[in-house]
Amino acid sequence: MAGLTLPRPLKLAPTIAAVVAVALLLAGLGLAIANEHQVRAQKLREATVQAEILAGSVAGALAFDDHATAGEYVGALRANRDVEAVGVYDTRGQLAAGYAEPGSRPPATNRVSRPAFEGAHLTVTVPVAQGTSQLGSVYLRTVIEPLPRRVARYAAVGVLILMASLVVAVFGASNASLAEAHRKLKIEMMERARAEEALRLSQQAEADAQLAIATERGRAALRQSEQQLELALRAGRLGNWVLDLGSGRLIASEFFRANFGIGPDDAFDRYANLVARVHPDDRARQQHEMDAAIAGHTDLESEYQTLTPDGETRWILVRGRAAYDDAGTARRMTGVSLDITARKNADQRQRLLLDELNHRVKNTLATVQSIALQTSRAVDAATFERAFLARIAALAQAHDLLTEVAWEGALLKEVIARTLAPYVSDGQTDRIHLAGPGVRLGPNAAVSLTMAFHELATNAGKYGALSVAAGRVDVTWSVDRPADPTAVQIDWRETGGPAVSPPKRRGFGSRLVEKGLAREFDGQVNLAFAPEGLTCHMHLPLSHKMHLAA
Amino acid sequence: MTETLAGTRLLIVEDETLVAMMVEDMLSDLGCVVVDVAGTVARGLSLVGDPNLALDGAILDVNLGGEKVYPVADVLQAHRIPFIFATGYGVAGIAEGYEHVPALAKPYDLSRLERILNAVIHPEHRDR
Repeated sequence: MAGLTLPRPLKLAPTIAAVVAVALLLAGLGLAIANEHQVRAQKLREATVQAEILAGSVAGALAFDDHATAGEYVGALRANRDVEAVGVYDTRGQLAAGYAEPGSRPPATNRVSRPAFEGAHLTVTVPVAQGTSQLGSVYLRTVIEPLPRRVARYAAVGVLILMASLVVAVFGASNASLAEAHRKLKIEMMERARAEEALRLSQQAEADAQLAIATERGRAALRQSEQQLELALRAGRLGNWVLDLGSGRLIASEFFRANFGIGPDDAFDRYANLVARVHPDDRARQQHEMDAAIAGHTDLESEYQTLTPDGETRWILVRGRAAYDDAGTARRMTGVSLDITARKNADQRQRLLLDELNHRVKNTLATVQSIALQTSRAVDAATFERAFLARIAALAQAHDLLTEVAWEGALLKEVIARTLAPYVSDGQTDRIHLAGPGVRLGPNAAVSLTMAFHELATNAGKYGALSVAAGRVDVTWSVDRPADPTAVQIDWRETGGPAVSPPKRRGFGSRLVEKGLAREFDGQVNLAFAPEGLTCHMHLPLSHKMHLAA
Repeated sequence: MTETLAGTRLLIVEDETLVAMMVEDMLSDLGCVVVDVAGTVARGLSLVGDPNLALDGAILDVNLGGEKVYPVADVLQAHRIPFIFATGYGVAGIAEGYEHVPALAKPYDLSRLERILNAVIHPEHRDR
C-alpha cells in the first residue's frame, strides 16, 4: 500500500530545527561568556587606569601626609557611579582617605594584591609611589556592570535567542505537527489498509464458506441429479458423450461405448477411436453433419451405422450440441446416443414390404389389364362380363391362397383343388381325383397355374367331363426322375364327358395353358383334344418358381 | 415422317404369363414381330445370344419371380441391341448403372409403350 511521503528536507525539518535551536542557545551562551570576559577585561583596565590615575594624583598628598587633599581626589571619583568604594592608604596601610556608596565601605587596611573579582564586583589595588619610594596604596572597588545594564544586555540577547528559538520552535512545531499529521495519516492509512485487507479476507472467507456450503449443496444436488440422469439414461438405454473439440478427447459412457461394440476396457477416449468405428459408407456424412451443427450453432442429429470390433453393423442415433467460448469458438460437444438398429431394421422391413406391396399391386393391375384386354378380344360383348368376372374371381382366389401362406409358397394341390371346387357339387367330390407329391409354387407361378387350371376347369364345365354328371377329372403329378428330380410332370385327364373335337379357334384359355405356361416355366405343355376326353400334359422344370415341398 | 415399328423384331422377357400375353398382343397391334417370350433369365440369355433371331429390341421385366433381369440387359447392351425395362417397382426399382434405360411402368399404357419403343428403336428421331 502506498504511504503518504513528505519531501526529504521537510521530513528533516524538526531535526534541523532542534539542532538550530541548540546551536542558537550554545551560540548565545558562548556570546554571553565572551562578552562577560570582554566586559571584565575592559572593566579591569578601566578600574586599573582609574586606580593608577588616583594613585598618581594622591602621591603628593600622601608624601606630605595631606589627607584632605587625598580626600578631594578621592571625592572626584564620585562622579563615576560604578565605583562603590575607594580608599587611599599610607605606607603603613592605614586608610588615609576614602568614600563609599551607601551599603559599602573601603577596608580599614589595604595591601597591594592582585585584582579580585567577587561576583559582580571588582577590587583593584595599586601602589602609590614617587620615584622608588613607596608612599602608600589605593583601593578601588567597582561594579563590573550595573545590574540594569547587564540585565538589559542579557535581556536583549535573551530576547533575540528567545525569538530565534521561538521561530525555530514554531517552525519545528509546525513541522513536527505536519510530521505528526503525516505519521498519523500514515498510520491511519496503514490501519485502513489492514482493515480493508481484513475485511477482504473476512469477505473472502465468508464467500468461501458460502461457496463451500453452496458447493456442498450443489454437489449433493448434482450427485442426485447425476444419479437420476444415470437412471434415466440407463432406462432409456441412452449413451452419453462429451467431446473436447480442441484436443479430440472423448468421454464416453458405458452405453455410448456399447453402441460401438466397445467394452469397458477398450480404448475409446479419442474422437479418432469413434471415427474408426463409424461405417465407412457413413463416415463422410457423419463428419459433415457434425461440422454443420457446430458451424450453424444447431442441434446435431445424426443417424449412422457403426461397425463393432466383431464385425457387426449397428445403427445409432446421435444427438448433441456444441458449447462455445466468448470468442465464439466451439470448445466442446455434448450429447446422447441411442441404438436404433431395431427401428432401422423395422423401417427397412416396412420399406421392403411397401415396395413389394406396390410391386404386387402394379403386377396385379397389369394382370387384370391383361385379362380384361384378352377377354374382350376373345369373346363377344354378351359373354364378356361373365368370363371377365370369373377370371378376376380366379385371380382373387389365387391371392387368397397366397395370403394364407404369407406369399411364401402355395401347395400345387391346393391351387388345383380350389380351382376345381366350384364345378362340382358337395356330394360329388369323387368326380375329381388329385394325387401327387408336395410341390410348392412361388407367387407368380401360383397365379399363373390358378389361371391355367381355371381355364381348363371352365372348359371342362362348359364342354368337357364336368359338363355331365358322369364325367370326372383326374389330375396327377410326379417328379420326372425320383432319384434326381429336375421337373414336375402334371397330367390333366378328363373322362366320362361328351366326345371331344378340337376347337376351330384357339382362344385365350388354350393360349394361356399351352404357350403361356410353357414360357413362364421354360417347359412344355401339350393340350390334346382326344375324343374320349381332353388331356393336358405339363412338363415344368423345377426352379425358384416351383420346388418340391420339404 | 415418323418411322413406324412395323416389322420390328422384339423379344419379351416376362415371367407372368398373363402380362406377357398382353404385351405380346400390344406389340402385335403395333405391327411388331414378337420373336419369343422368355419367362426366366436363363431362357432370356439363350435367346439374346442367338444371332439368328435378328433382334431389333427387347422389353425386359426387371423382376422375374425373384430373379433380376440385368444379366440379359448386359448381353443386349454388349450386342448394342436397344431395350426397355418394364417394372412394377417404378424407376426406383431399377439398379444402379441402368438408370439411363427407359422404363415402362405397370400396368401398361399402349401409347407410352409405343413412344418409348420408338425412342429406343429409332433414336435418330428422338429429338424431332
